Amino acid sequence: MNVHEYRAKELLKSFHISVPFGVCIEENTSSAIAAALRAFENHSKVVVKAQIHAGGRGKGHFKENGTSGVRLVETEHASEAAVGMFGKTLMTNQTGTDGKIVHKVYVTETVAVAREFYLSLLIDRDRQCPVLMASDSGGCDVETVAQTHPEKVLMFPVDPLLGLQAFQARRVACLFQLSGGAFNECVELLLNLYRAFAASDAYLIEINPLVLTQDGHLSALDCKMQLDDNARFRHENFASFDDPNEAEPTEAEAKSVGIHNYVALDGDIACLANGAGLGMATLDLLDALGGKAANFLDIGDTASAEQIEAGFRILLKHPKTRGVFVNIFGGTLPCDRVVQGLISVTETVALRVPCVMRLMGNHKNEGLTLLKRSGLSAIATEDLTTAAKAILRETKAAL
Amino acid sequence: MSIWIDQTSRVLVQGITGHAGMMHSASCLAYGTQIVGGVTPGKGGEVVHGNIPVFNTVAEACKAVQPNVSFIAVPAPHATDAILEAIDAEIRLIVCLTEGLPVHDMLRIRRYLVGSKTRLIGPNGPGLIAPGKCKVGIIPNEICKEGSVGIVSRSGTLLFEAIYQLTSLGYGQSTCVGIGGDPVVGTSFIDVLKAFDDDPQTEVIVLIGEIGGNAEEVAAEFIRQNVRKPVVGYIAGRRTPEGKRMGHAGAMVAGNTGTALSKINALQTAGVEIAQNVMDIGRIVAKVPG
Repeated sequence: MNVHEYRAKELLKSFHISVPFGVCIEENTSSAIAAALRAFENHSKVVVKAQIHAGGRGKGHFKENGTSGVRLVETEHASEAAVGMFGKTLMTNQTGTDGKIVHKVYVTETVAVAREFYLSLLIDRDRQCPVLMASDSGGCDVETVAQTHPEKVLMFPVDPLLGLQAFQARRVACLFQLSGGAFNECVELLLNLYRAFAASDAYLIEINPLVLTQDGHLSALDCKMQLDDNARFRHENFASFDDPNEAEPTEAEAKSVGIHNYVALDGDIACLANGAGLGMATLDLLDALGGKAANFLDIGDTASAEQIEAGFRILLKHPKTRGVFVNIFGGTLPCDRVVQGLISVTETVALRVPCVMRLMGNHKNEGLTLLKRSGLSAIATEDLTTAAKAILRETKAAL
Repeated sequence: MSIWIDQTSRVLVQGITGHAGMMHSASCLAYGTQIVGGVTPGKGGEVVHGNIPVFNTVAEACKAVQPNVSFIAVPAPHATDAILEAIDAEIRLIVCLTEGLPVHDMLRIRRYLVGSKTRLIGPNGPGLIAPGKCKVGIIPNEICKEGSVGIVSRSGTLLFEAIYQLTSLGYGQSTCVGIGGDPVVGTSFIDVLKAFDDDPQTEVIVLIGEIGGNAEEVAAEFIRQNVRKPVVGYIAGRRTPEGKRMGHAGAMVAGNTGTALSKINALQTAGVEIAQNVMDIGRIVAKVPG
């Protein structure tokens, strides 16, 4: 789960890491903007930052007016700058050409920067441990620096049972060539950052840049944060980090009915499988036979009747859907539960497109019988290749 | 011989009185798995499935019924504690089916496993089965047949698919292992490959991978250097967009790492026969000489 910059910084602050003072404007009304800017009456300049789940905002630009996603402006022009971002489409090197519509704008104080650093903690799945990365070249793409100037990047694993140790933090402070109070402040900041990382179940916390201010203190100027969705059960605050505006609409809808493994794709054959691997193999198989999937939906091997119905409802609702392909290899999941789901949904939503179901494993025969009795026009088979060829043939014939 | 489980395995089911625990233990019992006890804190003293004693703690169960395998079927918020409890009790093999364990917990568990006497399979997998001998998990036993193919897979349902194809073509299995779809799991491809290579019953190995991470690339290098038996591979996720989590927490292409192509190339370089299509897995195994 991605977290907006302003929420990530609130979280850092709660772990005693300094961030520039800022206020987020959550709605595009003159009163909301004015209320937020009142906090900056004594500042001559402010930074106005578009809040989207993508990096590269400073170098990105708005489709509508060409301005940047991060702007340094005179406080008297901040309101205009904010209005110029709300509802506009920001394109960065991470958003693709579609860009992302801005729904929130963050205003922060300016900081007199002496030096910039890069700092991140992430879970390295290849090494199977947390890794700390630091560089004294802040504000840049750390992967490029790691390749061109490896000596400028410090990277080491952290023992997940011990956590980050002070001696490790001191290595970073040395890399940053800090001294005196700033050196100790850096060590303290790193230890706090690791606490934030572990206590918040983060996949990634990246502070880029971390800056040394002209008066000798450290401040997190920008922050990218990804938290582990699996840890929701022990973090009440995770729900407040969700931003429905950031999700693809069908994916958000799927999530709202308890389907977490839905990914929208650009084809026209809606797919439902039980299991992630089987779901991916289904997309690959359709592709190899010349078809294109409209989505990936892994209903899981323990899906309830309600989840299955919700899944079918989403598939049938999609305007691009020209066929529905179901691939079930029941381990725990009984095939007849899946068939019943389709039957229940078609009581209220007409099945206007061809549907092919491949049913194997748990309660396969019960599923096949139930479908036959239902009178639905769906084709059922236990062989996957036959099923895949059938859905391609049927969708073509229905054109 | 199978790997890690057989007729002599003494299985403890943690979370036995829950819905999943009852259902899966019944199915394993019906297959002939020796289930010697269950654990549900607070329900010690009860009996389930007619004669299986329930204990409050793993330690208590160890004293009374000497299990050497623990099958964990508890929900994610309790699974970490259940795993640590079983490691602490020096259970030789833990099979954890639970989906949705926080990754930080798994990192700590992996670290705690170092130097312990325990192997952990999973989480977020279907467990394993040695056809004709023992089943610990949810692999549908009716599609299995005893034989000489060893299968290892990250995905559960793809494992079922491969087993079904092999059995349909007349090829039985020595052991089928689902290592789980999470980014951090207890047992790697390499652990299973090594066990299959050393197992006299296994003649051919099937490895089923998917996008995300570099476990398949690392496995390929291990195969190239160490594995003497023929290996057949399949990788799911050729047609998946970058940056999207495809169901499994671990299945995601990030930048140009974790792609199906990179994995397929690595495996082919190591001499692995690749099934280009999921429906070809059985047929490719049938072509392997020996």
